[in-house]
Amino acid sequence: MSVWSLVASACAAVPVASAVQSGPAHLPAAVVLVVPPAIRFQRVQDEVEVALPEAGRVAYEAKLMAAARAAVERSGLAMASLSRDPDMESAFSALRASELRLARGLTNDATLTAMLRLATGNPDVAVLVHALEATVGPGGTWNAWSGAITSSMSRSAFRAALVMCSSGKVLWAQQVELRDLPAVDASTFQDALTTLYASFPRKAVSRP
Amino acid sequence: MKTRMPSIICACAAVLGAAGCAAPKKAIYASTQFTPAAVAQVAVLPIVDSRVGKAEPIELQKDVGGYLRSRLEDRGYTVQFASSFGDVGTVSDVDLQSPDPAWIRRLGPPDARYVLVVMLVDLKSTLTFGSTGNAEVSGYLFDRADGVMLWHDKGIGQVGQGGLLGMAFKGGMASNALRVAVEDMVSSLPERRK
Repeated sequence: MSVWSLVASACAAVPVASAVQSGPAHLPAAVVLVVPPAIRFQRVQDEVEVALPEAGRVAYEAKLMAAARAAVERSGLAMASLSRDPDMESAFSALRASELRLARGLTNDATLTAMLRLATGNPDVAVLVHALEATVGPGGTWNAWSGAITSSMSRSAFRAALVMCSSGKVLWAQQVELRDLPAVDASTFQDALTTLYASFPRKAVSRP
Repeated sequence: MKTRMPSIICACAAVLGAAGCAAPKKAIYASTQFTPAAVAQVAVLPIVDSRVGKAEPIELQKDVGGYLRSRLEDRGYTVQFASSFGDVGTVSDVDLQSPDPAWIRRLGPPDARYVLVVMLVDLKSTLTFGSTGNAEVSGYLFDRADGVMLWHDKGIGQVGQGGLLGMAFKGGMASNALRVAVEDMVSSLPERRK
């Protein structure tokens, strides 16, 4: 391996997937409600939230939503939309308050209660919850006198989980790490999303 | 040249003095209720691995626990390692974001009052023209009896060396970064004077 290929491989940010929960490759009929993504940029040293410009947040949200919707469409599952019923809207708000938990494929009493309320009248509904959590850290350094070098601590975690509302069962959950803070139009951002949804399950084909 | 010597010495002394008087690290959160002298023993719960990518091999309890024990003891705390998280079952990073008192009371061994949760958030080593190591750890000290968080901080470790020498040391970079991160995290924990 040449020195240049070593340097190049160290600098390239490659999305790395790690399955949180692998479910069946094929799902029974479910109607998927895609929840708007949770987006959090945090400073590594003190966990202070880094404010994103509104336009940037909207652009990230749009890209994440498009990827989630495309995954559902490819899977053959039907997509649900939230009814204007105030009960449903309040259950949806309660669910959104626990988005970071659900996106990890984790549930608790609060999320289960909110999902059960969403399943009222439609036991086949599942939620697709997704999140982008970026950690903004000190960059890489090089000290010409001592030869000491360091690598950047910034990274991004893309998470998504598909959870059945009536049972609270996590049907699929995946997370992808990117050692970079990609711009919304960067190819690495799209690569990370492609990797995230690569294992998204498909609808089971019913045989006559 | 002779006249410049005293000023150079003064400048060096000032730099050294400033380094010695550097402000101690401030924790992300330190409760006003925290009285280190009252903490007779700290029960350290199993280290939580909240890394997304777990490519870097590590013996979590042994490696992180080892550094942690020595740093906590240096700061005057008596440490006991617990083997389970108690009634809460498991702990994830989202559980620690705003834990409620009821959850804190169920955390860790029933006979322990002060419990410490330590989480490995990130660990990596990279081979380039040299090698680097990054580590990030997070710690939370709880008072189970009162159901409150007493202290929370993070530690980061960024180490590395360029050139062939650095490349040769790649194997030790992650553990070196981990040691630095644990030291950085514990440095904001108030010292316990017996």
